[in-house]
Amino acid sequence: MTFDDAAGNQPPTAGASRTPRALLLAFNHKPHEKVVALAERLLDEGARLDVVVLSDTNWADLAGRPNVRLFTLGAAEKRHPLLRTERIVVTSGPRRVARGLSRLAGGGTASGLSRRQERLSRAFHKRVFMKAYSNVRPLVLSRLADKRLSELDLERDPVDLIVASDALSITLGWRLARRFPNVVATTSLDPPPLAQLTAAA
Amino acid sequence: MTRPTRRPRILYLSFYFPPSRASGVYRARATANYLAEHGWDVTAFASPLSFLHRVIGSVDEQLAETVHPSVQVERPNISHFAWERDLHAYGRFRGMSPILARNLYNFGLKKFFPEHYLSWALASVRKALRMHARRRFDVVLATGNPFASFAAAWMIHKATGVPFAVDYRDAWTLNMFTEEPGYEPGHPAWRWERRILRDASASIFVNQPLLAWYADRYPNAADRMMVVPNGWDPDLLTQLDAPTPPSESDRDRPLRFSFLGTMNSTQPVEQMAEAFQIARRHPDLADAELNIHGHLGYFKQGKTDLIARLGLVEGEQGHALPEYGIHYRGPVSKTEVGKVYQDSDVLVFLAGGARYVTSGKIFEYMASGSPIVSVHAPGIAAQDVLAGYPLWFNPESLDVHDIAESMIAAGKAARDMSAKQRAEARAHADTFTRQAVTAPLEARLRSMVRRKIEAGRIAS
Repeated sequence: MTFDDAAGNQPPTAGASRTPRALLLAFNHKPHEKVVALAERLLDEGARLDVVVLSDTNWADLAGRPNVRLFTLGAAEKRHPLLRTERIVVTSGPRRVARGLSRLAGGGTASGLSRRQERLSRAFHKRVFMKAYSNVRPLVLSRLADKRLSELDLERDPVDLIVASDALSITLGWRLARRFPNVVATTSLDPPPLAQLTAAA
Repeated sequence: MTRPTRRPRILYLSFYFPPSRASGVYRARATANYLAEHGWDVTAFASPLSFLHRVIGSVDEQLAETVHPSVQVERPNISHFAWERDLHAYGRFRGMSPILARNLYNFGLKKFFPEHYLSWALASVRKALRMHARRRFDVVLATGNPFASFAAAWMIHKATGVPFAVDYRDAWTLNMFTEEPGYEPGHPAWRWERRILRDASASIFVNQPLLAWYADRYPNAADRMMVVPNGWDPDLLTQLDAPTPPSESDRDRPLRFSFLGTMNSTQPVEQMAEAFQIARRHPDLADAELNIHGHLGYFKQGKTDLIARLGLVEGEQGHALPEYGIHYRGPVSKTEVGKVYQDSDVLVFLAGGARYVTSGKIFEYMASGSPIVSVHAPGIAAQDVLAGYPLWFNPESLDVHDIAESMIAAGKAARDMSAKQRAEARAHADTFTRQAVTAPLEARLRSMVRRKIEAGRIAS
């Protein structure tokens, strides 16, 4: 996990008028254009924006902007015990076994065995593991994010709006909504203007 | 001693019912009121108020007051799963396993009934069976959309034997705007529609082209199909003035064109705005206004898109294009509708779709007795209704110049209109009052009860 702390995104100092703050959760690898448009809109409204993503590769345009912090979880997910175990059992383990057998068999049989093993591993990963894993993935991601939430400092500098922009980010959004019952937490990509939220607060 | 005659008891499944402001709600209100006024004991099942407030985002409380006092309105629950955006409202299961929850929800839609209103239909069936056990229903009438109400009527029929009728306010398996089937072959909607039309004692359509489309697909049910057009509600349109000729000062002031209704994304809104800008260059339409009254879109989110499509900008006068005389005037309470018609010289009939679309608003437009300009694709089903209306200006195309010419002609007609012309126009509209159009439906429902009595299935 990396935490890209932009210089412009500092908590407010005592006595200064408070700048609204929004938290955007966007776990899809490629964000939908509506999600990017929402981020732009929130920045235009003068918000300090924290975006929690799996990978920042598709967020390059936003990354350099003042008042934006990107918070990536993808690397931490790859290190998660569940995924590591699956890689050992389904991919790397069988690959080693296949290579060992290939060495014993030698020649064309060897490459055929490796190919079949690779194909089988990929098919299992895609059709069995990922289908099952997708059901618990939002929970896994929310727990990974939990470990680093302190860096967002939500207790001392509360957000005005939490948006879970896709299905994968709902669990994290839902847990934050329970933790901060007075904050507007939504899956809508057309939330009310921040000025309206801060005025209501 | 003879037993007192029991009033026939009808269960009316109408998800959109006052205080909903959905466009189909007037037909539901009029049907329930007409039946109540003609000796029926009416129980209406409608959407929960929480759905109208939280999902639809608006209600018309005044409209609710116009429902006949003897109509018993019940509001079975509906799951907000498909519409809920507030994470605070998510339960533990959905919060912790959103993808599994979504997959299970979609499985229900795919395997059982393909509509988000399924939970309301199931709750309606449960409630109906409980009520039927206490006091029997004689007939069930379901109106769609949502078509889950049809499924509920069918299930109640299967469980109790009570005959049912289905009222297609909209088409279900026909996309009225593309005029293509609305679902791919094998979709569960077809299976449901087939079994519903097989068992329904009557199926009702809003116009003949729609009936013909269904009769063609379900020939075995064709003899039980009928047309009940939409109409206008004299009790809601009380402020229409007596026909008076325009005065000299009226002739000099700029003309007022109006659109009144719910604008939606299927309507040719850009063409309407552009045509008006062209027409306004004509001396007869100098400084004319086009006032848009009503809601923009059915849901809260639709407004922004339509404002952009109309090219309106926010200013001191709200959303408008003041240099072209186009103004968005906002929603109108039902009690103010008559005043809007009274203050309009020409009405703009804007409608999406074509052959199968009538639009409920056209009847009210005709009742005003004002010139009407059509802005819709040629061949729309509403043309059958408008055909006898003497002040109808139809460009027969969506070309902005043709529409502009019709607007100019309608403007001239408005300036020169006599009291006699207005009275003739209103006389045509009188053939489409709700009373007139609902009477055959009431007769059909009554015949369904009579057949049931004759078959010895109910005791009076």
